[in-house]
Amino acid sequence: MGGLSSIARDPARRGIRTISLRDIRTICTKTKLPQVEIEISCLEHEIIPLRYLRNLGTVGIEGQLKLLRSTVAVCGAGGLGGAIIELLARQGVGRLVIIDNGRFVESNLNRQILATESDLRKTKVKVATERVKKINSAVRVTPLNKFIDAANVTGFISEANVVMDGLDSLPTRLLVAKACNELKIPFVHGAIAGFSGQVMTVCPGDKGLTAIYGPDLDKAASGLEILTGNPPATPAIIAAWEVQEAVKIITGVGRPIRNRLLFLDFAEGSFEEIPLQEGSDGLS
Amino acid sequence: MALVNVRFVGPWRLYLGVEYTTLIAGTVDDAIEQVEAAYGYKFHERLMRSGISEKRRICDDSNILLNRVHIRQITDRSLKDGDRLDIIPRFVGG
Repeated sequence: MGGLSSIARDPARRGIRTISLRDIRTICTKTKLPQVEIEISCLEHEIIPLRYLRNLGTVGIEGQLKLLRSTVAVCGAGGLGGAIIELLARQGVGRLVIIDNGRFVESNLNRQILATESDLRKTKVKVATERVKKINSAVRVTPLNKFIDAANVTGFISEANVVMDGLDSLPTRLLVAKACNELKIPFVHGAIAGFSGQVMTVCPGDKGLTAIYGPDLDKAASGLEILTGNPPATPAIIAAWEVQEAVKIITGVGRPIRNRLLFLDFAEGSFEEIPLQEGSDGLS
Repeated sequence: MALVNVRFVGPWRLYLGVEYTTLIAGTVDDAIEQVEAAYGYKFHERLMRSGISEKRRICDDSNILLNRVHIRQITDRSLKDGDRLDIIPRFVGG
């Protein structure tokens, strides 16, 4: 019983050489090399760490190597950011820079996947770092318990291959997007309100957030979320879509969502692609 | 004056009970005022039901595009037949 499906599930029968987490840790202990370096070396020799086996059908060995060699900065570790961090760790991104100056409070518990009752009052970056280590100990984390401002943003994201939007403030989004454009780093935008959310990838030179929010977006401090709040599933879905964008950018697989806003309305079950003006105005 | 197509995106359809409409307007600002006059009260009712007494307009919580370009980026605000206005709810949450 099983036939093709059992062959598909059994790497050895497909001629795929694999290595377990336990064996990787043994090599780490003996060589004193970081776990991520061992995993990279294994993949270079076409030995697949079992934890990435189910990634390979979509990104391949080369894609997984690119992911392990990448740094992703996640701005915000709340509703969007928490789910982004969780998924990037599982995907096997080699280094995460996590930036948030907040602490978990009770009103976060409904939707922020990193928030648990036992973690209330702890800093979000500390909890996020612990969570990443539990999921994937190969991932290196740089936690920054800081508020992002004009003076520090460039230093925070300069080593990133991709920057993720888990923010809840338009002025800060503008700041990060502008820094990304200057540093020529792709910025994956996401925002949510109630049963709806939006996603877009902004590559250097794109008009980006200005095309959505207008040129004076720092004046628009809030959005419809003041009316709708944010239920648990919405940030999880939008965060997942943002992570897919990051994976596409890093691996070169697929086509990022550029110069078009993906708008999802879960109340109606509708999905819209809103074409935006192309080109750059240098703002974001 | 021009015949303009207006499209409401996402939750605006739920809140205002309309997906598409057409209107006759000379400028973007004229079109927005017509939208506020026709549907603004529904938004106000929705806010009141949610316990928000602050007076807000649809355009206060929207990103509005004219033929794919944000209206704050256009200098010539006059309209022509067949122009399209997208009224997109503004999201900031994360």
